[in-house]
Amino acid sequence: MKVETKKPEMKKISDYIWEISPEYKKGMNVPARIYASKKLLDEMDAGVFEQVTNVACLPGIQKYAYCMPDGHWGYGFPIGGVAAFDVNEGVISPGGIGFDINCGMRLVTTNLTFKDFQPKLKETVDLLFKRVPAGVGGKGFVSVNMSQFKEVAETGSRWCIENGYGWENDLKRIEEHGCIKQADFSKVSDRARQRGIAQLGTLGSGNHYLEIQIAKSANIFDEKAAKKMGIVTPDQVVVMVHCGSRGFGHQIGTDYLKTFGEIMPKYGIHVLDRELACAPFQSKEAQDYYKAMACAANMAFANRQVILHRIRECFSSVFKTSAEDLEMNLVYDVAHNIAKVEKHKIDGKLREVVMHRKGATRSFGPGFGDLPPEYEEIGQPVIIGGSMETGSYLLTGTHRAMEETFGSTAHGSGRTMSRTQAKHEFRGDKLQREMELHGIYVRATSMSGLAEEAGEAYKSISEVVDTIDKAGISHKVVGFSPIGNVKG
Amino acid sequence: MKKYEYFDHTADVGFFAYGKDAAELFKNAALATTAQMVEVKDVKPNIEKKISLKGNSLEGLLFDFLGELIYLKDADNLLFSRYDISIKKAGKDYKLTGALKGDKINKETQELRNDVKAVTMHMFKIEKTKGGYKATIILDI
Repeated sequence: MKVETKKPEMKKISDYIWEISPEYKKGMNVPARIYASKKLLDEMDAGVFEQVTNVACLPGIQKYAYCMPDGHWGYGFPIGGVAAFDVNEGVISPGGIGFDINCGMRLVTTNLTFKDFQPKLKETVDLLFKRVPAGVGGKGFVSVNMSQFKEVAETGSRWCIENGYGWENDLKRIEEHGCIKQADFSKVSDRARQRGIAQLGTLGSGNHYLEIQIAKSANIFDEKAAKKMGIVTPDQVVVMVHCGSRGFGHQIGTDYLKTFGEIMPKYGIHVLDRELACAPFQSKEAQDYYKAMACAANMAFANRQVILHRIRECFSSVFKTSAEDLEMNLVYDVAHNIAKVEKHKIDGKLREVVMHRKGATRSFGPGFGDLPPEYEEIGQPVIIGGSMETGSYLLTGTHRAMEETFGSTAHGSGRTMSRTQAKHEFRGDKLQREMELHGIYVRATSMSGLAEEAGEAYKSISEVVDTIDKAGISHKVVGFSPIGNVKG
Repeated sequence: MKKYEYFDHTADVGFFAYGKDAAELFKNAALATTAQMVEVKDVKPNIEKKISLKGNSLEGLLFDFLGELIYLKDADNLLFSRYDISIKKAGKDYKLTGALKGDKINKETQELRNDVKAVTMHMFKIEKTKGGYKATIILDI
């Protein structure tokens, strides 16, 4: 079944921006803007346009409802959806964040080159596959009791550093320094606690992965910025991690989706999709959700932090060299499913908004936000993960993103083929063998899950990245090619 | 009658479930959800878990029932292949009672697939049909 909706009329604002007028749908408070090349726009499913214009109807939305070039049909917001809501007049919606709260990306350097690494590729991937639990359910490698889990949820990556899972310097290179301060564990249900407590140190499944990549010299587009971020040698080996808050975040999303669905009439809010259930940001219910959501976001920061620690251990064991000597520095960690209170310029005035990014990444320009001194000049690192066959990118945030998209950009390549269709088209074991022939060694917990993640099921990552680069909302720095992958 | 059928959704998994009555609809929806996570025949009915849920609509009850399967997958490490449930109307509410039968997650003996994150409310609905009921459900994967 497809959503049989005609694509709306769109006004071309530039080669990369397309606008849907508020007249398209009754109740739209602002226009919708799609960032896409003509090719990506033509390929977008109709669900994207329905969903982004539904978002434009939500109370208190500012300027535009956005969809990024990797946008596709999701639930509630489209994937690639971005919206800012006034803190006083606007709402917060769990459907604008996703169930996997603070699903995000983390990038780590090494000082190894492909030549040093290649003979140890299989050994390293096999060890990572063994030591970083992935797949359905899954017990994490970090055991905590409930009072420790509360600390994890309230302090995020800081808890990890204090308990030996990482380096003090890591904290400076994480969005929000790895902790959203408003987190309050008392706002989290017992069910969410029970679902999440055993999962610290798990990758999950679906499109989550841990990947070893190389920076070929032909794919270094801005040498100066690359150096600032630690990409200094041709064919340098890096590690990328994609995962989130696991069952903990999924349950918090489920709990509050139900709550918001029940209380909307009280606030006189009507939404066009029940998945867009929301509450006025200043209401008690919304504040409770924000505090619980922050707990999930912190758990995700902690999850990626302990996984980084384990990656360092594995490399150290294979290469018989300390992680410090292997210069396994964190480049950055970015969230791409989150809501946060941020200050942005609207009509010339700095105002507080509740930023929703669902399948979209923060892209703060030089001098903005919580960047460490070494990144102040280049802007915030933006990590965009592609499919396991095609590669990923490191970019930086821009002033233009601050002006145009509330400091937001794309998050990945975006699916173009459904999971069901991908399973018909590809076979996991065959794909695994073919990828190995192309120099990519993959270990996966599920062969059908592997088939669903085939490169051809995704849009062209280079088209997505070129679009955000040319539109000016991010600046392309390095492209990475995959050589090893642990898939959940 | 078909038990369930998947439909294309770009990011996640959508399915229609069918049943001649509410209990059969719920069982088939549970089967479609479980089949996303595991090869159902690999899950032996070794462990029984009693279940009792209440909701003010059939839709709300189905949302909670599928949510319970996802919850137990993470909280108790359990997957289920048999759903011996009955649904009754009690005043304004609907009540589901019964037992789920399944086993601990075991990657050695079960073909595991995708971790279902949540049941979404996007397009979620139950319709009455000639032959009984049809539900439309999208799961977040």
